[in-house]
Amino acid sequence: MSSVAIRNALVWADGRLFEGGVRVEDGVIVAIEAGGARSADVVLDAEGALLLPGAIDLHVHFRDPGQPQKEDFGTGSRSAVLGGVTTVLDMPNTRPAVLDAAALATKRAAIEGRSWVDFGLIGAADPSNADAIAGLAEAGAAAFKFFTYERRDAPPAGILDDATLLDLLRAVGATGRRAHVHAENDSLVKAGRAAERDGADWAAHLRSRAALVEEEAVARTILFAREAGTPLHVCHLSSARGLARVAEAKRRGQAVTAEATPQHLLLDDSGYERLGPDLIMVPPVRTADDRMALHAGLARGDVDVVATDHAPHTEQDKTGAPLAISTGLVGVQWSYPLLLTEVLAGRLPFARVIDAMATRPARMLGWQGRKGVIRPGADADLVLVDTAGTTLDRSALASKGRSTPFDGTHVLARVRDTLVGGRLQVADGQLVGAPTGRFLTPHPLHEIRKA
Amino acid sequence: MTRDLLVRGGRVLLGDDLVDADVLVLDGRIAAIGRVEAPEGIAVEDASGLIVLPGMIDPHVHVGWPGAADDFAIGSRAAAAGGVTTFIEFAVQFPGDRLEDAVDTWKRWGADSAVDFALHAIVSDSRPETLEAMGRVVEAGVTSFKMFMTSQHSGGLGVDDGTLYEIMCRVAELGGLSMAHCENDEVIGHLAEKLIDDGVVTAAGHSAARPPLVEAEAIARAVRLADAAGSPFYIPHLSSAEGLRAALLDTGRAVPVIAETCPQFLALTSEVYHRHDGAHFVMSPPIKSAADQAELWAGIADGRVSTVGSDHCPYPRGFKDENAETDFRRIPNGVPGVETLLPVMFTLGVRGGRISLGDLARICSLNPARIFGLDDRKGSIAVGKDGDLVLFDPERRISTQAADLNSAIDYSIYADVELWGMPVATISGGTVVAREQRIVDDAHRGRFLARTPGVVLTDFDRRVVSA
Repeated sequence: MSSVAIRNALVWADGRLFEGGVRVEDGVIVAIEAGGARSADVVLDAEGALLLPGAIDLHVHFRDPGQPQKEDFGTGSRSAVLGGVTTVLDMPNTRPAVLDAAALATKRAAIEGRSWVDFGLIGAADPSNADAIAGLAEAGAAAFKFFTYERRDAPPAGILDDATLLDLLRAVGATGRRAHVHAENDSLVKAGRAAERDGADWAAHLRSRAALVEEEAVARTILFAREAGTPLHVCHLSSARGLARVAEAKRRGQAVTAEATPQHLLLDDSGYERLGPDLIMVPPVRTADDRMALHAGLARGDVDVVATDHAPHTEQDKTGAPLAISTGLVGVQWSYPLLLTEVLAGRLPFARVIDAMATRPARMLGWQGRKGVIRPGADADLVLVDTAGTTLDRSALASKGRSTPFDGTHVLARVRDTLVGGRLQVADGQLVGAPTGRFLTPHPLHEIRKA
Repeated sequence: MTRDLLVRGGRVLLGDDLVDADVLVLDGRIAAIGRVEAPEGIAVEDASGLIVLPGMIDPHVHVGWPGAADDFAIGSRAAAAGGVTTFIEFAVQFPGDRLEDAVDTWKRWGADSAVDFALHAIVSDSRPETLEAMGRVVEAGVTSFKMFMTSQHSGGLGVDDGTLYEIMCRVAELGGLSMAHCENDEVIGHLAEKLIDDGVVTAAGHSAARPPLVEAEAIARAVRLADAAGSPFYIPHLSSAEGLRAALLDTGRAVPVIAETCPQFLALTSEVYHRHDGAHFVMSPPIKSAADQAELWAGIADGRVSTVGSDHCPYPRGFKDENAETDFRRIPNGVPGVETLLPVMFTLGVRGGRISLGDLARICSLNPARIFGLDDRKGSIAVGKDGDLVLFDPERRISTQAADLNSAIDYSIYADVELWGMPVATISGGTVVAREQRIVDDAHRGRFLARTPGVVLTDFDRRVVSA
């Protein structure tokens, strides 16, 4: 029996802060209390720091197994835990791709014992695997990833045929899991890329994928998900127009959620010339109007969660012409500090940011009361945050990837300590723990409704 | 009187979840939740086998209305007996009165309250001195203002649209919240007169004179005026599907609009007005049809209706019955409700499968706390908030007989309704005030809760209906 007491913190619980602390036994919070230092195996004096629930990032690519030159679960999860992210969902476009239960089991076995944070694994849905969806869910897939455009990369393949899309959505719906969609219109992407093939400036990337590319695919996928009765999650929303479609569906009462990345929420096309490859991802970072719409959507809750699409590449992959280089940026280590800066600067409500970083992702996976909150009975996934200003420096990234648009950005929040399941993994900004992260499976949505 | 208490071994409602936990209250406020070591000598309340709920907040109570049966002392004890630990009462500026005097009077009366209370102010004119006084009233901690759009039953409190608009503009300036009793005065007047002429003189006439149109039209008008004034708007006692639709119509408005309904609208239908004791159910707006009731429940379940307030305002039987067979216009308007709010919402809402227990706590505690600027102290079981708790047994029925209820009336509007969910103990600021429908600490006194303006209410806005 190991116990931890954290005292003298500003604790986020029940939508507000109070001065006090928490007690943890065997990885679970057993009490939250005003003041009160108590004896425990480990006593942490927060010295007035914020004590927040660990973040849950629904969208990371830790490239494991298959592309250790880009990232592996050890480096990716170190990056996460240093940034106060205590649970991640890893995407299925690893090698081999997570297209059936056997591939999921293989991936799980490969990762186990190497993750510093708790993790779930997303399965892929593609034109080849409709029959494997149920098995993937049984094996513990946290959700299913859909790509709606042709991928130049290894599997999973994009789902270009409408009937196939509907079938796959139905198959996922039957499992009670959520469909996570990368929504871009295939034909418009191809046409856009052809038109901008020789574009030498970095904004050519944005011009090659107009907002309609996203809006059409978001609208279509929402329509099909409604038909299939499947809860839908729109990944990395990038446009005001895509957001409007999501918001409409929510108003109608459809089970649609959406995520946005820090770069889509905080940056816009004015950054392309300065940042070059360090701003290149798909869907692209768009205009200031899009950025502001997403930011306001996050404040309202129409953008449900912040996820990073942490997608590391090698230096070489990120070198070349604007439309030729690999798309993707690292992000998992800095999302919490960046979003808390929005809170501390008065640009977003505290409650909404904690909800978007931790509480709502947990609810989406059926982990309400267990993750994403500080309360008795919840896993002790906790982050102590200093509010002294600091400048983000890419040399501090634990990821193998180096491409980020936020190097040199001043933030108002710094992750001091991180606990995962009651175990101190980061102390004063340094890794101190061990890769004890656990494999997690979701609580199927239809069972939650029944309960 | 102690304000320290350990509530041990209950299943505590935290958010949407029931968590096995103790709750430690020190000096009236929640100091710890979870596995708690008992400080030496502290009083312990055994909650094993019980659910621990946050104290309910009734945002709509009249315990100072002239002629009504319950005053602060009695009404607040009825509240406590029913698991309500905070209520918001209306201080009334009767025509010619000074607004501040009304607030002062009601605050003074509040010294008799058994549980904590806040005040709304009812404003009945827009004279310069009244508008100016509203600023001082806000400084005194009263930040929500209600106006009557009808004088038919309100003792001449009704204001015309111009006055309503002027007051709303002032509320906007002060960062407060406007509320209005929304019923169309003239339509009621004409319909009522015709009904009387036709010989319909009993409570059935009261209902017939106030069809949903009466409410919906006034709501639509009030929402337009509130939007023009820039004032967030709260609709008390919303009673009909048509009214809800009018409240939520997407007019492109910029101000939040928030809807409250009443437990009697959710539990009863207009059939009651055809009973021999129909007069006992007379209130305005009146209880509507079963279809209206179903839509109000749907609104509660999907968030279009944000709060439930009892509009508690019982009158003595004699007063109710005096004109019951001769002229429904002279039957005093108001029914009891603060004491049965929680059991009604639990029985029909949670046991009825319409909402979860978490929803109940949100609608009957957290939402009113947030909307009325009390959530720094009230509205949930959280460290630092007041130790207002209800130890609740969902498997026990409460008595709905008048003799077992605490209001100063000898009739019950739920006498033949089965209500479940016993407030085994009601705790106000760490003190057990009531047990099993009986007051056990008559000495306990509630406090006036001063509020500050500027509450952000966009979360509660639900613009969902297209024109």
